[in-house]
Amino acid sequence: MHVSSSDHLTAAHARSEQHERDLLRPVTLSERSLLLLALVRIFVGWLWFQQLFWKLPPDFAGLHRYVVKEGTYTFLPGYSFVIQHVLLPNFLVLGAFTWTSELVVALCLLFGLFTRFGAILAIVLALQLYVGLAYAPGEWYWTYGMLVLLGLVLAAAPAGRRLGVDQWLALRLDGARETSRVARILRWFV
Amino acid sequence: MMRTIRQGLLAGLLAGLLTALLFVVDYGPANSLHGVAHWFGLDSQGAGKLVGFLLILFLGGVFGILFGTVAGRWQPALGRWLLTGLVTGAIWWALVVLLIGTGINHVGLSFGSVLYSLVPLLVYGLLLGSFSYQWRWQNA
Repeated sequence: MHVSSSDHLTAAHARSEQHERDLLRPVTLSERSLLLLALVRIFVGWLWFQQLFWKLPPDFAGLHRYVVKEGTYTFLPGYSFVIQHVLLPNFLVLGAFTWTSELVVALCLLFGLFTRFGAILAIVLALQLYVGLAYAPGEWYWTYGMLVLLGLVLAAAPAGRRLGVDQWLALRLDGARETSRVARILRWFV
Repeated sequence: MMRTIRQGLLAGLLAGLLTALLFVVDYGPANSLHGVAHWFGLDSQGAGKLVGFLLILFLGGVFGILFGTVAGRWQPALGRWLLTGLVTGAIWWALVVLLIGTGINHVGLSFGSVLYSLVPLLVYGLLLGSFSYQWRWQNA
């Protein structure tokens, strides 16, 4: 059988195209990677959990000096005005909101319950800290940068699918999302 | 039955180890382990941390055996096993922290100390249920 050089070229081209397509194949995480990711999630949740105890209700006292510091050293124009004229005069409301949000982040990450929601909330809180405190004296700007990045990792990967409630929730929500819009929305956060 | 109890013990020890490691990561390091030893009135300046660490491991194993005894009779179903694990963690908290710690050894219980003891023990329970479920399927 005679094979022309153009046939060889077409076959080589097809192989190269297949190779390029293979490079874009979705990655499946191994069981070990999922477990490692779950451990990272639990310890990051513990990080947020421990920060609840120096600003406990009802007065959230430990938080006050940090809010004052943010008002002085924030790098975002106008944010200092908001802190001094809106947030500090309503400090108890701010304290309750901050404390509750951090508790939600901690519980979501520790229990792997709507992990992505917890991670997104962590990113928002960490960004606020970055804007307010990253360039304050005695602070290392990467501290809050790393907190943002940790949140991004946990939002991007399915960190609650092992050692977490999300492992159970994901299948249930998958089953219900054809018929329920709420399930469809909740599924984003698992 | 013996196999599920043994799996419960191993899952309990591993979950206990991870819970103990959570208590190690603090400003101390590991000052929180003094609190664990304190539940049993066994805290001391020199050995309190080690006693606390070993207590979590030991109790992790004991509650793991209890979990294995109960859940071993059921078909593995993740939701049920996670819930049973969480209940096991809550029972640990009620028996050890509330009854022995506060009731017998008069350890003070504030809002903060409830939160700081209950949540990690619930995490222990979740890990216990999760590890047991995972291993049960792997060995099925």
